Amino acid sequence: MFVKDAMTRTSIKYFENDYINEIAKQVLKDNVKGGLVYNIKDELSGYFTEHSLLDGLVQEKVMLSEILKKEIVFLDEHQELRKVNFSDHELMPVRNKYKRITGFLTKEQYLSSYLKVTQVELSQMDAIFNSAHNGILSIDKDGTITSINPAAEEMALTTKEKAIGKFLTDVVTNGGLLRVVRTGEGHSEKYKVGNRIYISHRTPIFDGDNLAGAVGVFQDISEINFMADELEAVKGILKEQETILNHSSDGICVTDVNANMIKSNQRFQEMFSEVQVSNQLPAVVKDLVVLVSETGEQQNVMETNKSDRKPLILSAMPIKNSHEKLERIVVNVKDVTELEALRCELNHTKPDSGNVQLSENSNHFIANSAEMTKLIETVSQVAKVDVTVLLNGESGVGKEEVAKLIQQSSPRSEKPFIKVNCGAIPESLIESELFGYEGGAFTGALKGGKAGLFEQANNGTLFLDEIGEVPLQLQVKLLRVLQEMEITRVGGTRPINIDVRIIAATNRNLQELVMEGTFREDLFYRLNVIPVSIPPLRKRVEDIPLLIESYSKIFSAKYQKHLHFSKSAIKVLVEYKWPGNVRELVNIMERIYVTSIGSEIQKEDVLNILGKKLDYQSNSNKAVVVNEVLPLKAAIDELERELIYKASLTERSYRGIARLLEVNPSTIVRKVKKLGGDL
Amino acid sequence: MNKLHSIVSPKTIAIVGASEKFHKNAGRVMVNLEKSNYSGHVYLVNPNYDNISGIPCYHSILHIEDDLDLVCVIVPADQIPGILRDCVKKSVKNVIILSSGFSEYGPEGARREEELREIIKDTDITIYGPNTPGFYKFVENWGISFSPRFEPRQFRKGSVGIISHGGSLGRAVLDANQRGLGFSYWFSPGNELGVKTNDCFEFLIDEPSTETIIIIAESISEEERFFRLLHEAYLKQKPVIFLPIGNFEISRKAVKYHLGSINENTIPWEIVNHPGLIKVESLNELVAAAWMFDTYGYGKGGRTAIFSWAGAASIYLADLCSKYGISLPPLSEELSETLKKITGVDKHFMNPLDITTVVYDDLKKLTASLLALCHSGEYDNVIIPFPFQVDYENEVLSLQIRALMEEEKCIFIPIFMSQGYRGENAIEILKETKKPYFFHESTAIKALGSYLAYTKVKIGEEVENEKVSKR
Repeated sequence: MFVKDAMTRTSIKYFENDYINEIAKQVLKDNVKGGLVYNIKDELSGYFTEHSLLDGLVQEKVMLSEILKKEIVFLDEHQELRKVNFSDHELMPVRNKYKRITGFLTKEQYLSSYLKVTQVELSQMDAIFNSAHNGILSIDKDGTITSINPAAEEMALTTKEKAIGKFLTDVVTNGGLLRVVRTGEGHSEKYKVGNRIYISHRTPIFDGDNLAGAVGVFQDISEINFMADELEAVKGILKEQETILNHSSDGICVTDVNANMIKSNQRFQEMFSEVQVSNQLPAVVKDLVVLVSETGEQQNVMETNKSDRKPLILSAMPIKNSHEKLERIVVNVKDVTELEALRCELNHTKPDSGNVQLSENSNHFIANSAEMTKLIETVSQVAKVDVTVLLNGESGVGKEEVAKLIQQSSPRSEKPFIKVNCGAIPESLIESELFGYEGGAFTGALKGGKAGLFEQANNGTLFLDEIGEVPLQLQVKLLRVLQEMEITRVGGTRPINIDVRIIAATNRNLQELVMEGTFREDLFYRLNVIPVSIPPLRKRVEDIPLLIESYSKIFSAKYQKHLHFSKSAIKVLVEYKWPGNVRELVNIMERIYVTSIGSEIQKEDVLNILGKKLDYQSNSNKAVVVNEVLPLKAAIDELERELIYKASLTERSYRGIARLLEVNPSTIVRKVKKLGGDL
Repeated sequence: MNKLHSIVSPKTIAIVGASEKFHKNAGRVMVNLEKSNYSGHVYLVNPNYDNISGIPCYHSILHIEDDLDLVCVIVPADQIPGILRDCVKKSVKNVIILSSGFSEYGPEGARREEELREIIKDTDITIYGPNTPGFYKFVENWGISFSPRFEPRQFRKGSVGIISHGGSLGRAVLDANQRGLGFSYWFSPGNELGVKTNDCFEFLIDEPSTETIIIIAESISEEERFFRLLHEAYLKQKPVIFLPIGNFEISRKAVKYHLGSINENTIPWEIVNHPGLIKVESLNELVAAAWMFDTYGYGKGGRTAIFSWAGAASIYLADLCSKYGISLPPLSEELSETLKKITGVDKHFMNPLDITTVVYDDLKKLTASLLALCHSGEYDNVIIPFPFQVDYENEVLSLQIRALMEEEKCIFIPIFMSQGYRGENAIEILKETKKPYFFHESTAIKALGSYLAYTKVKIGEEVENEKVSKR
């Protein structure tokens, strides 16, 4: 027990000019036994105790300074309690190891803790006394037995009750302890009782300067004889090992930690001529031994023998004593000439299996901007781990391309990649499209049932485009599929296990849809674990020239036309806002290639084509402007085409377009078909 | 049924490789089990002994007649295939392999691991490890461990389950047990030959005494399952506090080198996003957040006040609160008036509070102000900075906080900002409460922010559920 365990820990300061009666009240209330008193310079000047307070009150003193006890001796928090010399102090201040005062120890605390420590020690002593294998017996100065432990009881064939109070030799045969009482000097003695041999250490007990008695500690040492026999056996084993050592086909030597050779076998001496000549360790072995003695760990090396050029495997092993200290090092040397020959042969027959370089997938992506480079880096990192990804970005930024990029650089690249445009499938069909159906599930269902897109994508990747368009009631099912990784066909009862990686994409702000209540929050959280957002083209204008160049190559090949873009033409393209992003850019490029007559593309050519588009986009006061008279039906067709086109600039899905135009998605599908799919 | 259920509740355990060299790893496994509260039967197995410290020792598990629920193996790696074959013969279900020397040990070790895989193919043996430091079952005060410092009887039970890749960081966090952070289980599945991190994750999600889950991982195998489980933990409202390690090129290399992990791909954690996931940047923050959840559960609400007698400290902490999304609603007129009366300072008080150094002269003003703030019912959380060491003032404030903690009306965030030695009595007083106190103001406030955000999501979720049920 330490001072810190018994002390009162406090930083309360009393001052010399505090009033005794005030402090007495406080002390009584807080139930503390004293306090430390400081002077005007904030230095510790003394202490008071309950008693001195009382004394001060009785003598009608006023200030603490009048009753102050000034004998200050500091204790250290980490001092052992039993080593504290409390002497006449009533209270001692305590400091920590940084010499800061942390509290005090009162005499009462000291004594009660000391008592506790002593009691514990006493019971420990009792335990030792009672459980020791050695016999312990004590007598007083008259030779009367005062204590005897269970081991001694057993050896003397007696019990405590019978022995205590009796004269020593009435209980045991050997009276050597009496001599200790007589002479006041201890001694050791070896003696025999029957056929057992004992050794006894005898010590006098003093009470101050006066001899009070003696104690004897004795032990049966008959067992030691057996040990001698054992030693003999060990010698035999050593001899066996010697024989084995000398007949080993490996070279073996033993050294001490300083690489001095202690022993080596015949084979070792044959391998290294220097051993035979000068009894010196060969350099290669010495290096290894030094390494082992430095690291304390086993070391293996392959080396060529300097004398006969034969390949050797050397392993050096540390031998540690029971205190984990390195004592010896054993070196084993194996001649591997034959083994090496075999290995060479194997190497020659092994087919050349060079590293197959994986194709550089990011080539798909034409991008040089910092933002896109970082994105591609992230995407290729994400691709390799098998997790759901949510792609976010405006229409035309290339969400599908990113999805494909992920699929191609993923471990599932050889497996199916199925794309579903959730906005394009009529709401009533979407469930059976995704999960499939059993025969007879509904009118018009195939007889044998049909596997859904999830099943088709099994082991592969499912790209759910326009995820924001999935109807609410299906979102619940989708989340369940994601959590359980099993689906149930429409009309079916048996769940089917699937293993599909989901890549979802949307051009809408799902968080907003969640707030509107059209998208489930839990599904959003589940899909959004790894969100990847793809920047719009206007945020990465530095990529536009690169894109122009790349698509020029593609279209010049397609249309067998070589066009040159003037600087100002490119400038116009770079400055355009591209609401339709890369897709729009590709469309414009193609249009330029189709419509151009000359081979030089000037600013005006681009402006012409963009201008037509800008017309589409310009906000005239009226929503619809009629430029020429034409048959109503043709005009309606034209208007429908224009409306759908305009809607498609911001909405990629049929359902999205339908919502903007406030018609059924199937209407849009029908119209688009009728218009020949050409917007 | 999760594989771990039977591993953590065996009626019989055999320790293969038990030895009387108690200062070595193998010997300590037995000692560590003997000094725990494990109530089942322990068999010792080692061909070199007939008994160890008076306990009989079998030469092979095949000599034990009893069924063995769990076999713990700690012998050199090259002997393990043989022992595993014995386990197959004896129809043992669970084997913990503590020994190292497998895939973390280069190609030779990887071959050895492959051999183990081959042996247990088509059997129903579950392997935990190899190369694992074991597991601790705090809820029953025992564990499998070869640690030289293992005191299962002093385990402080609690609601935090922890999974760590590799032992060292896990142990670092477990030491917070001393300060009051209570745990339910610790798992560290080593090379994940059988039991995977995700299995431990799943186990803790279903385990009733676990309310919060800590994961420290260098990579996640079965990534998609991880996110499914994460969502499940979220649905059960068990926050997942996550410290990803090995996020940079050099550290990925070290992962491969030190842990022999073949999983070179890492999730870009910086973009991962889920309301059930609390990503932390340091052990300190990890412990701070877990300690908040363990001590205060789902808390009382989001209304937070800063109580300070030092102006700059209150301003600095208000900065941090804004940074980490903690709102500091204003004091009511009434409360402001009360504080005016108590302190005698004639000014309008605001949150963050600065009751000024008038409290130096009369510490009753300090304690009375804090009492008034807490008893006003206007705040759920009170951040209290101890800006520097001022002996008695701090001690009095700590005593008042300790008394108020017992009332459980508010959650307290005491922050000791002094950069000196941490030996003040004020700290000692709060230490005894075993409730959270902090030294790093920035991690303290960030952890409080994450804690309150999770609680808020929970409140939001309840509203959402109501909506759904109304529909």
